[in-house]
Amino acid sequence: MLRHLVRSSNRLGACGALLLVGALIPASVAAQTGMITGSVQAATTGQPVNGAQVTIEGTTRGALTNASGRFLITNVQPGTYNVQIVYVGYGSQTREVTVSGGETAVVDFQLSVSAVSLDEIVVTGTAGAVERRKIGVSLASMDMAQIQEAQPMTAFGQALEGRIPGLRSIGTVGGVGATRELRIRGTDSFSLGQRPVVYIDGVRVDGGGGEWGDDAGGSSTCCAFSGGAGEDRLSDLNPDEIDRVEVIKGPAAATLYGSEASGGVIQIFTKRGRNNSPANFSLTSSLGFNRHRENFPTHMRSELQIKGPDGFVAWDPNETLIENGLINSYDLTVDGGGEAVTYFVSAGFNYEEGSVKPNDQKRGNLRVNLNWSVGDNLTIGVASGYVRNRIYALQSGNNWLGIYTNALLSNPRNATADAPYGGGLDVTVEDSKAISTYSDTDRWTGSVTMTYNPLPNFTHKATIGLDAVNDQKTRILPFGRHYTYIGKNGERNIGYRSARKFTADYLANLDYDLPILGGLPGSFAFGGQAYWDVASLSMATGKDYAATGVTTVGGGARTFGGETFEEEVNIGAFAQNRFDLGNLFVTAAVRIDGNSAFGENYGFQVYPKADAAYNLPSDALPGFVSSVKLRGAVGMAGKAPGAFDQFRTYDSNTVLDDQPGVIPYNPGNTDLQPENKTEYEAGIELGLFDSRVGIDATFYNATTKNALLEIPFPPSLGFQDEQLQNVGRILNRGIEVSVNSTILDRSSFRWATMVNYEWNHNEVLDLGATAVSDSLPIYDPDGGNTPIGWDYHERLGGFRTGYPVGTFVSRMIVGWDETSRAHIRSTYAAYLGKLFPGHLASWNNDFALGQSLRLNVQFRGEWGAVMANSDRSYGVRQYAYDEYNRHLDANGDPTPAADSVLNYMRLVTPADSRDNIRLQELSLSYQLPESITTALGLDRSSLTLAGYNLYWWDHCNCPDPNQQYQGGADFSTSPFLGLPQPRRFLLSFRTRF
Amino acid sequence: MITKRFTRGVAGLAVLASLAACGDLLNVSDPQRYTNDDLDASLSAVANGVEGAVHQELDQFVVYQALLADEYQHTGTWQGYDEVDHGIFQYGTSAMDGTFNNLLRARWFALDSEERLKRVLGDQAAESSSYTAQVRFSGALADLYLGMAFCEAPADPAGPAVSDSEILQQAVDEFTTTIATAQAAGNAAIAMAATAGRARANLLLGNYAAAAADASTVPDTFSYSARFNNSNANWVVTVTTATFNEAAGMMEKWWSSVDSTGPGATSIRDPWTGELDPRMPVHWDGDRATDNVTPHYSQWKYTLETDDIPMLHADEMRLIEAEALMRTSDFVGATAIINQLRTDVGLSTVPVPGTAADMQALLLTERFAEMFMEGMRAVDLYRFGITEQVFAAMADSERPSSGRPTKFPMSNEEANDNPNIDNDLLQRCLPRTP
Repeated sequence: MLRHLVRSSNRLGACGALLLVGALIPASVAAQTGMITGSVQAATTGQPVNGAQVTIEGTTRGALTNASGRFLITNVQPGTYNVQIVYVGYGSQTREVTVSGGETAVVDFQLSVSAVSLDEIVVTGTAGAVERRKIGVSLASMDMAQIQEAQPMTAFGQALEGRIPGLRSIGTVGGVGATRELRIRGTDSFSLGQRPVVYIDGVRVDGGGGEWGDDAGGSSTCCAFSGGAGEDRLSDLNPDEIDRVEVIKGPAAATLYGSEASGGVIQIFTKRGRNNSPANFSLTSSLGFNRHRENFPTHMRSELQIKGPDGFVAWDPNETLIENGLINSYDLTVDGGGEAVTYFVSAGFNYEEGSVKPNDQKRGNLRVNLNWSVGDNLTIGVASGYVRNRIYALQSGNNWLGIYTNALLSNPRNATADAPYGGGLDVTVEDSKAISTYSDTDRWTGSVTMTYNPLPNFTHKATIGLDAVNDQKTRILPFGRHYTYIGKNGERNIGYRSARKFTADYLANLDYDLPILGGLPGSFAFGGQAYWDVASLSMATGKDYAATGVTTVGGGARTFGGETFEEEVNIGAFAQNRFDLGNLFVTAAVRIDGNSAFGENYGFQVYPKADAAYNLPSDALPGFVSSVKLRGAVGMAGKAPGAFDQFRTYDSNTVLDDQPGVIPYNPGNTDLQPENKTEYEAGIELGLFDSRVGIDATFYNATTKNALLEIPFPPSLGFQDEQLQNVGRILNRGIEVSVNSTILDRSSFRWATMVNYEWNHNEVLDLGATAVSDSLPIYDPDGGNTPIGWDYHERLGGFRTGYPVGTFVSRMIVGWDETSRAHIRSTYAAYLGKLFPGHLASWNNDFALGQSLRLNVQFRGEWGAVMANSDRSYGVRQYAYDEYNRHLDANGDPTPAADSVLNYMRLVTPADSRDNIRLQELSLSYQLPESITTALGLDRSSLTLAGYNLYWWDHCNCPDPNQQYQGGADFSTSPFLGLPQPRRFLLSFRTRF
Repeated sequence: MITKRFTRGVAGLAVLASLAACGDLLNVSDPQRYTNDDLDASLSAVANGVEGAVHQELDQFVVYQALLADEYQHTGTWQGYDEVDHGIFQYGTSAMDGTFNNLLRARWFALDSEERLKRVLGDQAAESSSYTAQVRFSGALADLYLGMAFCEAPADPAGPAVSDSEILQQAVDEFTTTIATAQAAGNAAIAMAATAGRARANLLLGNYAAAAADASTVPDTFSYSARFNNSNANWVVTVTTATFNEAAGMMEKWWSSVDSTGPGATSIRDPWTGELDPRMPVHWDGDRATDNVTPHYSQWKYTLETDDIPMLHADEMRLIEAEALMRTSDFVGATAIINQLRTDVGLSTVPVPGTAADMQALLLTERFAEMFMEGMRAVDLYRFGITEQVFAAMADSERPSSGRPTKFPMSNEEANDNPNIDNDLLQRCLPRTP
């Protein structure tokens, strides 16, 4: 055994050379063995099925079908086997085949569509690969390769929109590359991030979004480079590299991921090559454009011909700010493999401009994935992905320098030829556009995975990996232009963020058959996981340049620097056991975590889980019911506090005449624990009418305990920061339903549809002992502004027991005082709505017309949330928005109505509904006739015309009800002048050769 | 074979668990901020930090006090300034809350630092340390400014709320202690500044003789300012930007007193002689505020972000002496002091007023000029009880004289988070004009 391992190690040393050689050498067939080959097609259309999983049951041997639907498995020992085909969207099939030495057995498959896929192999949230029928939790998977076939996308986050119940991925800020709103099953923390943890090929990666400029070195050093939206690290990913995505939505499934996973896990699997396959090339080229809807609230400028002091008619941003933003994308991939080695190599380039300029993204991706089967029982997988992502960031948001901000918040009566919108917030749009803001990211994500099967029933899998992100930002405010308090002397900001996430993971999996109860099969797994996150930011600013020509930081008369650092270490061990009791599968697991962010006085955290899945026997089901799986689960996962939250610290403060000083900063807390979220989940997965209809319904009830709350010290006790304490409790309860059906499946016409609906109830249960008593008024449901009662609760900061985590509570207008001719504002604050919608739904349709045409339509809707529309009140107070301007008289002077609007907006921020229904995707794909492709020397090829975010229906007095500054990460209900998402049009050509 | 491998697996798990148990692997440290122990070795940074924390609130203090009084009006679009300017803020919505909080924090840091000094230096040595004098003086200053602008505040950390008079009395006591410490440490500068501070606190408490006694010991060369630097800029300068969202300019009542014959820096005219008063520099070059209508007259006393804001100075001391004389009906003596100050800046002298009302008007205009944009105007309107009269004279419908707040309330944060203070609106003070 030891010798074998040593030999394996020696082999590893020669790995690099052999990998290449192995890839090039055609598979040789040993004299004693045979081969299995065949094809897989869709039963009704006859179309080849690409990427179907072919396995020889009872062995670790298998293959994937190629674009022609063909597969080949070599070196099969003579004998009789069951060959199984599994492919998402189709029912699995198993055929018996007999292999003779030196011969090739042929077996073909005709797959029928199926809305349920209980045979699908999944790996996320469970120790080791397992069929979906055996797991008792809700686990969503998305075949990215299939999606790309129908609707080529250039952004991964966009592909997540509306496809997975419980996962909310929406664009909230419109700049190219800007951050998105991404969360699963509601809001589960007051103080920590809401994003799910993201893995790529088993390696924990930086999946965050947002700005980091403000973090490094204080306000004197820099700024939020682009105004707060920042970049989204998920925009680094190239969708064409991704094979599939698995999503687990909460602790019931995420227990084995420990102290970062209570918000769910997104696991991304990149593509791999196929054994015994010649090189398959694939090329995708897309051309298109982004363009905003012309619905900015400034149409009155041109309608009324509002003039500035010199008679200049103010520009309307709808007519002058919105442009077409070019999209141009190329992806070339090649995959294949020999007997021992497979490869997947991908190169992609994506260029995309925003509709408000300057704003663009240039992204180049390279990926090489290799798999090497070293003998019969050792496989080594190497994944290496590199991206260069250069974003010319848009100045937007809650930002003096924002382009959109200054165009919209301009008083048109100030317009001149030099400031055609009206001057904005003391920064003209022209000066805003002269700012250069770049984020330039180099990122490498790689892993080595070794899978060792000393016995068919005993597997060891070890993964080590690294995600290294180097992000350099620059911003130049050129000399000679005017930037509010920065003045006319220019400013240069540079920042460098280095983030490393190391992952080491070991998993052992033993399948057994206990000699009790007549044989009790099961599976026992154990392992450990460690990660080490290190991030450092350094920034520098140069101010006050003497002239043009110098743009380095050092060229400024004044320079500033700053640096921040974070480090977090987590070590965990876990064990899991699953019993296979016929149709019943019962799993229990536990994970133990230690984390450097836990308080000094706190030890290790234990996360237990259990789940059960019961597949009703088919003979017990009525005729129209094909399959029924009942499942239930309970589990716990956590979120660790911030890296240094436990320490009591003092901050430096430059005082007097540039003397060093200190001020109290963080009170610290050595008792800090992780937030613990326990989730109960129950669900049913139904297959109806020959599995033509699939229904997946889940109910969950999750309680976050020990939620970290920032307990404010009274200012008279000194510290600036609040003290984090584990005192809160949050409830998330909800239902997720997915109905998936192929309504028609004929060779001439196929209509597959999927309806997703989710309801989430989010409620603050407890805020701890320091919460203060408070009350909110209750109104007569039939109307009226007078409260008829009061709802008493506890309040801490912006949170209230009995209410959702993100709320809009405000004083409001309750009447009109004729004497002072002013609105009357309530003396109390009222609850006006919640930040995040309680209801989300999507409707996806896939129509196939004959063999060549395919139409995809997705509608998406959200309702139940409100917007604190500060943009409206701000825009009116700036005398900029239609809402005010439409009430001016013929001379452009205020009327009583205009004064009333102004007075209203001075007193309150209006609440607007975020309810909307959106035509999110519409694509038409045409598969080129074989006569043409053959003549061109091409294989299967298609043209797709697609539109995204095309139109939305709402009653929000805003350009887009999804507008949300910083993606909602800060619980702000305000859009804060975040640019809305543009519409997106794309023509793609996709071919294989 | 299986058993053997299984045992190895379990052993591996045990090793992993042992690693986890090894505390060193999970130990991290924060290299970017100071710990408690770090500060014991750097007492100067502690003392400077306390004093600087008070200084850094002066710019906001000045802006809000000017907006509350008849000094400034809001010319931008920020709701916080707008509500103060129009006198429509309430307890719980006052934009001045942040300044209140930071003054309280500075005071706590002074107390905490005093304890640190005693612990590190020893009780006896601490009583004669300049550092101790510095932090005590800073704590007293914080109380002085709290008492000037807010109707109530906790006297102790997390203690119950007391009236502004009690806070000012606490400031008097703290200045007294500071003077003793500074004298023991041989630090004449702090002793003098504390004496000036005590003079003002006593004046605000109505202890005119005590105030004058302290003021008379302060020489004409004395000045103590809140210092700003490149890292901590003077915000008053920022809000002078005409189209800035948080912009503010001189109140309309002063516009006609400004020399508008030509663009550039000028001054408000002296109301008694019509001379341009250099103590009230104002800039107007035709700039309009955000609405493109309102003329934006900027204060021009502070033009650089590093310009300091005077907190205590000799001219104020002279006016304290003048006021003490006025309170004893010695108008001649009071006017003599005032005329000396006017002469010093090149203005003509004024005759001795014949009535108490005229004397008070003269004193107030001189205080306005001498302490222009130093946060004192609102204090004077309040203590003389003339806010309603001043605003009634302006006859500005947007700024009615009735019901206008005359001081700021304590912050919502302190009332919410201090267990000894009720955050009930009805329990919190907010003095207004009738």
